[in-house]
Amino acid sequence: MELTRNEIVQKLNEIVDMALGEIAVTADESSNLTTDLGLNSVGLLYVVIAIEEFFGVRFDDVSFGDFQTVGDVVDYIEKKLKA
Amino acid sequence: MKWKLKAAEYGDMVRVKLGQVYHYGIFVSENEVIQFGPPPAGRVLLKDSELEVCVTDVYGFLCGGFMEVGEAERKEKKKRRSKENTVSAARARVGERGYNILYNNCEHFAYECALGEKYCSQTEALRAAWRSLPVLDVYVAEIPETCDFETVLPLARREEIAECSNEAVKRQKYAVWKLFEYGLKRTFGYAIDNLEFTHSASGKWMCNACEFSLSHSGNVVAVALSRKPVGVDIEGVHAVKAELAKKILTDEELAAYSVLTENREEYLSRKWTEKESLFKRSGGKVFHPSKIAVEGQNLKTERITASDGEYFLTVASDDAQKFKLFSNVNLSY
Repeated sequence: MELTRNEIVQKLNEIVDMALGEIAVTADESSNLTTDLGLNSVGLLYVVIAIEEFFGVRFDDVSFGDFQTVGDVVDYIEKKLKA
Repeated sequence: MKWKLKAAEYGDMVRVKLGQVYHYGIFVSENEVIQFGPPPAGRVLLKDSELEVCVTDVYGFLCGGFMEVGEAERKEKKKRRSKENTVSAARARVGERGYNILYNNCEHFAYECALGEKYCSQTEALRAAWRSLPVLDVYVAEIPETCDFETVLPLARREEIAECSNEAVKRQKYAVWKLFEYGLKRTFGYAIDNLEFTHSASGKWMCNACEFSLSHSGNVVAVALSRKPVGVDIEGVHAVKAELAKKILTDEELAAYSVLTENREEYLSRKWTEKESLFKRSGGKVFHPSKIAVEGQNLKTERITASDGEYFLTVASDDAQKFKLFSNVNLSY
């Protein structure tokens, strides 16, 4: 019973809220990590470690620079969960 | 590693704080500090694939910051390589790539040169912070029409379900476990087949990764997941009848109940879920509801509407303020 794409996005929103405090913008798949969510390199590190902890995946074969949008992160998590 | 502001010497592990993070390296001389990637300051950030183990002078390493020198702590002293071997290990890797901020960064590099094994205090601290965050996720679902009992893991749970002679109970036990499986994935990212399960002295299912509690009633099942002991109970809002009042209420509650003129069954049913959730959280063996006072306890109660009626759902947890409800989970996969 894998998480749906929509559930992954919901969970990412919860993580970003926890990492940055309650934010005004709710992320959707088109949200840009830096320009929409305001994640700097350290903020992104917080979030990525949280994703590892809460999704049970490892970002061991990817560069964070490859992720532009929330949808890119969802693609990666989905791929890892199915692996 | 203990860190001190002092002049570095040949073979020292060194670091400098740049913004919110530390940059690490191996000090050879004023003209040679070996590090994985240049300092993340005063330059356009490079892609991971462009970063390599490189050499700068001490000013290029510090970027205006203060040099700190690492001193091995007692448990690290046996592993600490000689200064010559540390420098040799660092020099041998100049030009190497494969940077990954979580698994192969500048701190991993410096630790590996100096101690022979990778370690990153910064990512470990962040992991520890996330793992200590309070969590209280509660899931509610209706029992699906089709139950595929062969998909239940672990095998011991499947066998336990198979032994039930009552078909309705069998379906409840199946559904609550499938909901638990979903919650493990949704809350913590755990796959149920990777976890170890045991039973407590009172026969309650336990796992090695988190605390959880299960409940079922009628056509509804509920699961609570947390890092701390947790108890959940769900019952129909009219499940507990008047004749049970004296058996389940404390004297104070009985006094409050006796003056009620309406919703009396709801009062009893709600109290029941509060007491049973507290009992489940305690892990006790014998349930004496009339001895459990609910006043002042960390409880959260919600009214749930299902296809076969209304229910009270109560969860007992020290993290009740973190209560998050996921209702109407679809188990018909």
